[in-house]
Amino acid sequence: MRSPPCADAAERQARFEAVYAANRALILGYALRRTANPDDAADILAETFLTAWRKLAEVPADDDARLWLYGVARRVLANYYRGERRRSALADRLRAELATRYQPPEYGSEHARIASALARLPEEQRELLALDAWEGLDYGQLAVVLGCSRNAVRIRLHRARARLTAELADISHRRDDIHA
Amino acid sequence: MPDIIDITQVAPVTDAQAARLASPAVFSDLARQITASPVPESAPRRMWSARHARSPRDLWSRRRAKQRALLLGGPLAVLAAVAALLVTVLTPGDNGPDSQAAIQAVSFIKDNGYITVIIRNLYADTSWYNADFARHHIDITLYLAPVPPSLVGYISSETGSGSRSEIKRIKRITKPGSCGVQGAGCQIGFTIPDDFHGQVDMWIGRPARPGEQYQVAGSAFNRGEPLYGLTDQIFEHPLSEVLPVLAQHHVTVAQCREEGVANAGSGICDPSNMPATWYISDVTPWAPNQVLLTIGPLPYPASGSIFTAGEPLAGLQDQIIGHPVSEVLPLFAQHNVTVIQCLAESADGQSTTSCDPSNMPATWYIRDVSTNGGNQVIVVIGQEKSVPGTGH
Repeated sequence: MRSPPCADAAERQARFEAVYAANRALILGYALRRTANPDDAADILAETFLTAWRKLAEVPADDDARLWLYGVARRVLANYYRGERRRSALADRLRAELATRYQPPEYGSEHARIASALARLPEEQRELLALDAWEGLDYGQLAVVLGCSRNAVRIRLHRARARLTAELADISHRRDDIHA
Repeated sequence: MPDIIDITQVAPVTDAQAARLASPAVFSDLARQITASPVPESAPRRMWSARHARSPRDLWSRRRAKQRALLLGGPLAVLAAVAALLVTVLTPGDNGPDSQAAIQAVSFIKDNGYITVIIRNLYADTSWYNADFARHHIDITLYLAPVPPSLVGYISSETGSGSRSEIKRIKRITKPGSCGVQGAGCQIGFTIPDDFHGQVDMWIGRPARPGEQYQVAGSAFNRGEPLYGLTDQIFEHPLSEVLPVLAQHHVTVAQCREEGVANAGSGICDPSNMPATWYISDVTPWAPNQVLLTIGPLPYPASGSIFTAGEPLAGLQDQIIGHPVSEVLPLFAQHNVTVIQCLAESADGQSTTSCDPSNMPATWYIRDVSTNGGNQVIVVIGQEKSVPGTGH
């Protein structure tokens, strides 16, 4: 479901700006929720959209662009996890602003426990739960972004949820033990 | 089954909040810098391999790079290069598009308002075909991609700028198994109306040469692959048991990826140093007799389709999906299939809860069946035949 190519540079620019305007906050949100680090999130945003600019003909139309962008952001994030943190000069101004405005979240005890349990999950399971709950993707969309079958999504999501429940129970018991 | 834990509250930030973390001017500034950067010449599209978004070796960009190197700067040089190209096309050379070799590789038949293209030799230089299309003012670019045996001869079309309705006017011709080991003697191709307008990229799978990496992966368990029929010896067994099986079938592990560790390390593991107690979650063809293994500390169910040839329920999909449990259980018994896990899908199709495989409601419908290795399956059931509105 590719979109038509751009007849000329101006059209290309306009198309990119439309995709950027519609999705920049979504990708920034995606990156911040996983890195909790405004510097890295700015770079991930910049690199994701730089890829979109270069491969604009591949970016699907409408809401599917969002899924395509999540896919790119995931790969950029994977590089980031591997230690390939590239500070992009493009994102300098954005980095500076985010640094002053972004506040790391402060959790009450219940949310802190949930966040803790989530952090204990293997990365793939955590990402699946996050895409489901934080980005609000349904099974079909998850299958597209993760590149697996819908059925695999169902089964893995079920397992991830069970694992989260188990981790949370474990944390709660430990906490109770300490206070007993 | 406990309530599903709601993790939305622990998201560090919402999209709406993210939007306000920088001023519009700063967001625009980033966009301006991005769009000021150069766009690479439209490179051939990377092939999407079955699961892993790794970068396949791209034969085409190497060839293009060679051609670019021949162009010296300046208008005169450009004219000279174009002239050279024209000469190549118009005069039959030993190895050009009009050469004997080219004519044997592809037949290009115009007949009654249609053009039929038959690829006879999967090792042919596709610049020949592409020159032919260009001559007929047809914007189709053909690529031949090295693929595993089960994908040889498979034709895929990706749209370029063509509309979907134009793409549908392409009729594929496939004769499975017609291509010999050397990629010759094929009877595959496609037919298009001669007023076809639109831009299409098509790729056709060709055999990989020894040592050549696959550009599209497919499944390691399809018929024709070295590991066909072996899912039950590979999934849910620790690596210490699986590696000998691979060796027995002359398959080497070229690449390793980890399913995911809490700290999200490199993700790339060393095939010669994989933990013996770990499990395989996926096997992806990498090159002839080489695979990429995805491994993790937990066992994973096999992900193949239970309905493909060679599997216990081959060909029975129509008698199972969308049928009530009461009808399907005898069919399972007949084929020695046991249900080891049951998932009950909610009405909106967005969540599942565990159900007891030995106690599934007889009037509920089977929505999906997937293999857990060997004769064990996981079934997904629902109260309705399918989720309303999805046909799934």
